Amino acid sequence: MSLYFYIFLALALFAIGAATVLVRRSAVISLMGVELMLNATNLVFVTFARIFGDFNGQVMAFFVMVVAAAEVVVGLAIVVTIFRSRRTTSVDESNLLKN
Amino acid sequence: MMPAFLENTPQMASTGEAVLFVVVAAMMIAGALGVLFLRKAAYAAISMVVVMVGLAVLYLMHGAPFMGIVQVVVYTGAIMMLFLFVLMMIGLHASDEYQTQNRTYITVAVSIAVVLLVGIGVAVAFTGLPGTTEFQVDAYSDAPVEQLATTLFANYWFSMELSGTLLIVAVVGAVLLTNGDRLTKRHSQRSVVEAKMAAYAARGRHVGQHTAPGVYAQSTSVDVGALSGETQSVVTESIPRVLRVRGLDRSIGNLDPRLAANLRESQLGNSEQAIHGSAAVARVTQSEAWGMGGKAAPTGLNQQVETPVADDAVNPVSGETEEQN
Repeated sequence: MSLYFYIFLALALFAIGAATVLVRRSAVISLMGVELMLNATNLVFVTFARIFGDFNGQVMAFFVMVVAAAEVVVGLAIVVTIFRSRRTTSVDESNLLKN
Repeated sequence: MMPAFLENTPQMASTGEAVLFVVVAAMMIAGALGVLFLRKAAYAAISMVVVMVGLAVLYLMHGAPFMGIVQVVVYTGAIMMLFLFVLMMIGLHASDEYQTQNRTYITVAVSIAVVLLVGIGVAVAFTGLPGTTEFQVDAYSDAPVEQLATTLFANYWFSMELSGTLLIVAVVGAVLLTNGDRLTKRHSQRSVVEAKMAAYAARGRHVGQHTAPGVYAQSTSVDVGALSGETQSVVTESIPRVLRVRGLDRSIGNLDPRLAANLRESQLGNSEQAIHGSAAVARVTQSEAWGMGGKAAPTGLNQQVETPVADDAVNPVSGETEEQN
């Protein structure tokens, strides 16, 4: 089997993650969709690191993990703050900036 | 089995890797679809864990053991647990009922995802990469981790510093955000006093503490009101409000009929049979302390009372011997 199937798997994960972000209304599950997309790109990085025999790909995946951890911490803190003041985690109902 | 256009691309190392890949990939796709479709956020988080553990297996198959371990520790261990903690705070069974929204939105979202998948997939499939099949380093030695460390700290040391800064800023931001805004005024000692006095001026609300429940020397139970020495009656407010609302409070008559009778005499103005009337006072034996009436105070070894004195000391309030506890 070709190593390209890793890329195809990562593409499928990325597409499902994008659909999750767009379809789901809960902010927590939307964040999980973002995580899914980030993980898919990580898989692409590591796969290319193997195909080219180059460790730069793994280093990139490592930095993506660091940034994803920071992003999730801040994102979930925002979700908790919104939930405490508005009693909802729906991304459709957080519309204070509308109009 | 394989499309012809993929035959010139880098191949997997062995049939075993292909089999493992197919199995893990199927589980990961199922988990990802679970994130997309499961209504309850907790189930979606568990599906996400499946995807992440599968990714760790794929990293190990790629000869990247460090990335595999970090995937398990950071993503599955830390980030998904953080998700679950937040779900615990906002309600485990929170569901977003995403099916009820406008059909057009769902159609557009799924179309975007499919276009993404097909478009990039075709682009990748027709891109020839001059890759190799063999691992560049021995995957069963320390070399993958060592070379990763060399690359990371030789070429990317500044990015490492920056990512450390980013993590600290993220931590401070998360602490600031979760501290939250104060929605009501903060109460200081002075503001509490002023509010109490204002309530007293407006409605005549009692300023001090409420009387504690229970009858002195009879009961300390919370469902019996206190006796007021001022009015010689039961202070109803001393019983907790919840018990009063539910009708769980007890009357004095329920607790001690004689005490209730004495109280009634007090309110009728009977100075003899009242609660502190002359009959009750007369029953109190005199103290044996120094300088008081009664027997001489015990001195020396006599302070140890060998034989218990017959307990004829009656209860000062009800005039009843202590036969009931």
